[in-house]
This record gives sequence, C-alpha cells and structure tokens, in this order.
Amino acid sequence: MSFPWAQQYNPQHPLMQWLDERLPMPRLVFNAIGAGYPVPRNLNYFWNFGVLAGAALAVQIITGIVLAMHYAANIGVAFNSVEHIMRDVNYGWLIRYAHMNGASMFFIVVYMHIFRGLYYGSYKAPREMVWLLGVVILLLMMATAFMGYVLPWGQMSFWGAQVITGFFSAIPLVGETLQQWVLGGFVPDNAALNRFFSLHYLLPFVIAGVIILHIWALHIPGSNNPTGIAVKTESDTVPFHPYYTAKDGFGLGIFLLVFAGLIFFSPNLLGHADNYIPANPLSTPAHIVPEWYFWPFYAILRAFTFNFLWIDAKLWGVIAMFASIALLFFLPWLDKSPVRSSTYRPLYRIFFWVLVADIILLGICGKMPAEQPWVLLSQLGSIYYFAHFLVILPIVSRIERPLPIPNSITEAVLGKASDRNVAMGTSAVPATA
Amino acid sequence: MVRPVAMLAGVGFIVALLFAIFTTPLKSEPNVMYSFVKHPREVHLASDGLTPHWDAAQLQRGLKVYKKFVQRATA
Repeated sequence: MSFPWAQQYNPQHPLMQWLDERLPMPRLVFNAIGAGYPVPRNLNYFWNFGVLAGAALAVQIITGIVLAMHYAANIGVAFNSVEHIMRDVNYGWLIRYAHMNGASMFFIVVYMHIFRGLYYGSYKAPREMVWLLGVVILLLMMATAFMGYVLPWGQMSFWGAQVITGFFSAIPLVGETLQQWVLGGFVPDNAALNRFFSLHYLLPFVIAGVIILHIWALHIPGSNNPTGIAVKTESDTVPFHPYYTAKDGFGLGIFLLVFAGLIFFSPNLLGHADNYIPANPLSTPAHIVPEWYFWPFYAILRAFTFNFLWIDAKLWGVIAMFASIALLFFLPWLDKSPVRSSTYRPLYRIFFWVLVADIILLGICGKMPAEQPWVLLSQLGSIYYFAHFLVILPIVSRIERPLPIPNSITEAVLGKASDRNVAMGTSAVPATA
Repeated sequence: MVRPVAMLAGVGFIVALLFAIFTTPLKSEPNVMYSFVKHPREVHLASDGLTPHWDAAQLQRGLKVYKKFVQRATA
C-alpha cells in the first residue's frame, strides 16, 4: 500500500524510460527508499538503525567474501590461514578487523533497532509481520555469528562450539545423536569446521533475503513514528528522499566514525584474548565465554542450577535460553494496549527502562564466571526478563491508563494551530521537490 | 489464548528460577579458574611439607602428554 499523495515515478531521460518499460528497477527503488515513499515527518534518530543494520550487513558480506578468498577451512591450517590474512595479505588486517568488529557493530545497531521497536510499539498491529521477520533475522544473525566465531579455530572457537553444540545433548532421547549429527563427529573437528564455514557463507544471503521481506512488509502499512499515531493526511508525511536519506546519511557517518575508531584504535576490545591461542582439545580454558552479544542469553542459560520437576537444570537452561528469544515472536499478541508509543504509556515506560537495565545486568552476569554473586544476579535478572514479557506486559496493557494522545502527527509536531492551518488550506508540509 | 498460555509459561520459568535461587549456596566453592591462576607459592600441593607424597601414575601421564604434544609442538 502507498498513500494516495505519494509522488509518482516519471522518468524524463529516454534511457530511464526504456529501462522502466522493460525492468522497472529504478521505479522500485523510487517507491521503496526514494521520493515515492511518504514517511511520517517526525521520525527521530532512533529510526536510523534499520538502515545502519543494512549497511553493517553489506560490510560483513563484502569483507567476508574477501576473507573467504584467503581462509582455509581445515583444522590443520585454519588458525594459521587467519594469521596469514593478518600478516601477508595486502590490507588483510583491515579486512579481518572490519569483519570481526563489523559483527559487533551489526549487533549493536540491531539491538538498538529492537529496543526502539519495543519503546515505540512498532511490533503492534498492523506491523506484526515486520516484527516477526525481524525476529527471524535476529535468529539467523545469531546462528551466523556463532558459526563465524568458530572459523579462526582458536581456543574460544573450539570450546565455544563444544559448549553450544553441547546444548543439543540436553534434549532427552535424541540429544546426543542430534549433537553428533550437527558436528559430524563426537567433538568439533574438521567436519564441523567445514559445515560451519559453508553455512556461515550461506546465511548472510538468507538474511539479505529476509531483510527484503522485512522491508516489503514495512511498506504495506508504512513506518511507525515516535507518537505511534497512524498517518492521516499528507501533512503528516514527508518524502523519504531527500528528508530521510539525508538523516540516514548523517547517522551513517556517525556509525562509520565509531566503527573506524574500533578498527584502528582498539580492534580487539570486543574480542577474547584466548582466541589468539590455537584450538587445543586437551586444554580447557578456565573460563569459556561467548562473544558479548550473547552474554545476556548465556546468563539465562546458566541461571538454572536446580533440577525442577522431571527436567534437569541443563535442559531448563537450554529451554529458557531459546524461550528468551522465541517469546519475542508472541510479543504483538502479549501487549494488547491500543496505544503504541511509550511516550503516552507512563507505566509501561517504567517497566521498559527496568528491562533495559535488566538486560545490561544479564550481560554483565554472562561475562563473569559462574560463581556468586553473579549466579544469584543472573537468576534475579532472568526472573525479571521472563516476568516482563510473559506476565507484566499482558497485565500492564490491561490496567494502564495512557496519557492523552494528539489527534495527528502534525499536531504532535507543530501544536494544535497546525490542524487549523490544514483545515484552512494552508498546508503544513514543507516545500518539496 | 496466547496470553494465558504465555503467563503460565512465565510463571513456570519464575518458579524454576526461585527454586534455583533457594537451592544454590550463596558462597561459591573455589573453582578451577582461581586454582590455576594462583601463584605457585599459594598452591598447596601433595608434594609440599614434611611428609610429601607423589601420585606416580599421574606424573607418568603428565610426562606422556608432555612428550607426545608439548615437546613436539615446541621443538
């Protein structure tokens, strides 16, 4: 769906007219991210993170393809091939550090994108499909990142793979068989490294495909906005180009500055020193820890230390860890508040910020060794995490009394006088091309 | 339908975690991480003191691992 006032693509150049009649790609771009896509006029900088996530994926694919030209997926040479990239390949260090830190940047912007969606209620009707596809993208990203971390075949690569694939063994009856099937052996070995490399190369393109669906689903209802109010008139929108291409360009500049800062000044800040030690199945690191973006989920996994009912603690941990992400699929149906934005939901807003603090706490607990007080804190943090989504959110959405909502986006931006101007025929839309 | 089931699942996780909290000792056992990073002077070994003893079999296994892997790797 597009708004009736959306600009129409009207190519002037004969070449563009010829192309439009045969393969209307420029028309598609014009309607998707160009002047033909009307967007709410009040989007703030938190709406930059979708584009930034796309940019991060592009960086990962480009640097990943170059790395694959020099990397060797064999346990005998994998570690040395990464060192070869770092030392012998022209600008190999730059490409590898960009790929390594690019994964972290990708997760940073995606987590910001998710939190923005949670705060402004972007998961609510009619954008449920956009949200569901976003959760699929998150799961694919996690799988891709995990398999990518195994490839350098350092100590954390090996032992991380051992721990993560060990989750399968918690499944009753078929667990061990499943683990061996996933690994292609009893422990992470050449078979595992090869299949992880193959899947690590494949999945980013699957992610790109799901992103196209994500954007397609977004264009049906149009973008949400900080008020959560639906677009009603032309004065509520501005064309995506040039307004948000410029704003996204600014955001991209900041993103690249931070990214460059990481690559050139502290490329190993977010990594683990143990991964510069070649994998050694005979030497278990004292403290096996995943990459930072998995820490909150790792804390949830380790929070279950008690065999409860007929399920043992390990299986509880595995179920809870997967449930902590899977519950996001049900979010649009758990929160039934008719108001989207937290700006007008004072009670939900408090719980949202408690959730943010809780996830940071879980992240810290996931990084620390499994000992007190971190175990207790991760247990308390996990209780709030599940309570927030599965208990508090459904109750709050029923009992909360939201604040008065403006009549339109234009009113929220320009005040009540703006609606009078629109009624009098004085458009509040900025002059556009 | 989604919300009652979700609430039930949420309560299940919370109860399991509460059981875990009340059954986990608040004082951690000294773990392997801290044993390995201790200064050799602080490590209490069976070979210390006036009446030391050695686990001969363990020493043999250690030597075997050293010869097979470490010596070869550092040669």
